[in-house]
Amino acid sequence: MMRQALRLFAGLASLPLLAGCGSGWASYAVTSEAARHALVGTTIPDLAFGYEAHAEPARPIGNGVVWQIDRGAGDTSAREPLLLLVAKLAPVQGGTEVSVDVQPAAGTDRAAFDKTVTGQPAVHDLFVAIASEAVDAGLGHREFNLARIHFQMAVAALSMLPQIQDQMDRAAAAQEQQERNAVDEAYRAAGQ
Amino acid sequence: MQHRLVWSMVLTVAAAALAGCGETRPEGYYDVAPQAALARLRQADIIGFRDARQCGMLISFRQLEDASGIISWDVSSNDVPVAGFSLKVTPSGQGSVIAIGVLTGPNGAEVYDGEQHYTHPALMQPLRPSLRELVDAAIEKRPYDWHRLPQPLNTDELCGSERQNLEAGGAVYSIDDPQGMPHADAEAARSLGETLSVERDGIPRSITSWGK
Repeated sequence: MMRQALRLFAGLASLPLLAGCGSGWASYAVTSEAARHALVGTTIPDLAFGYEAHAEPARPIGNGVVWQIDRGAGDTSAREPLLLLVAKLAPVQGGTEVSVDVQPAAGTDRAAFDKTVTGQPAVHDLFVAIASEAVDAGLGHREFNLARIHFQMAVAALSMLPQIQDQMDRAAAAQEQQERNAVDEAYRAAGQ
Repeated sequence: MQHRLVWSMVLTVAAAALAGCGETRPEGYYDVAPQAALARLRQADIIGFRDARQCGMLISFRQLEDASGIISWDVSSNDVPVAGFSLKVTPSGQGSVIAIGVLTGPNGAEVYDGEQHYTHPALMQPLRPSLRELVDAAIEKRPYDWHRLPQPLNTDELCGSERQNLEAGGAVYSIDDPQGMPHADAEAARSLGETLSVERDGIPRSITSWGK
């Protein structure tokens, strides 16, 4: 799970870095039922996840909607649930207040997920921004606007640079060890 | 009088500068006494060197030492010589100079000098910088570290490709098989009755004198 998240975040780093904005909650002048009806079935473009993940169309839950994010955007056979973007709808005076949250997908390790999220607040903020933009686009009856999450993308990508470097270093060390083992095995087999 | 004083100062400064130049340490100098240097070279990480620099053939090292402070390694594969090098320790001031000698090949050039082509390469080229790291590591009492080598790390494509195959856990190459043919393929061909022509690079048996 952690490794999958790291790969996803590394993929996000390759996206263009432009300024934008996003928010964790907002109010809309529609009823909760109308808001839910408008959001169900909406999608998030794969580009928002750097083509490392894919969002299933929003499905209804008790008090809102949820987008399930699967790892593996292109190859459907390789997809597996990664996390959930949840939009909670609460009736307020004159409309509906929508708050968004990032939650682990069913069957994933909650503790590991929480550790990843708290350890990477910029990445958490990016997912919140993606969910917020999905809500705003759905309720505004418009396309998902990538420009509105570019700032969070940039911040998340920069925050991940040390981890990406560390991951690359560890992968290189593991590869070297694997190669050494193969050579050692060849000498052992030859009795040298 | 003032003129003489100025010149006196100039000459004093110049003499000091020249003396400083004279203290420049010679190439291959280590601030370790000769006996200690020899002791450390005897423990050199030759397996680390082998793992870092070998091609796709399995090779073995035979370490020799003479009374004049020269340690040599004969490198062979299936008892066929493929390389050889020496390290010579000489006293220098409070420390030692450790010079590298490399076997001369049949064409008169040092083996694995970065320009050579072998049908059965045993080591990446150029050899000399990789030997300097062997010395540095031994004197510093640490494992061989190829990350410290200067570019180019290897000029021999055949060596590089055979090494990749060995590291991938697939092919081992043998000096008794045709050039570039994995040993398993050669054995398969022989089992079918094929007669395989095997090239030889003509590397001499050992370093018989310093650097030769």
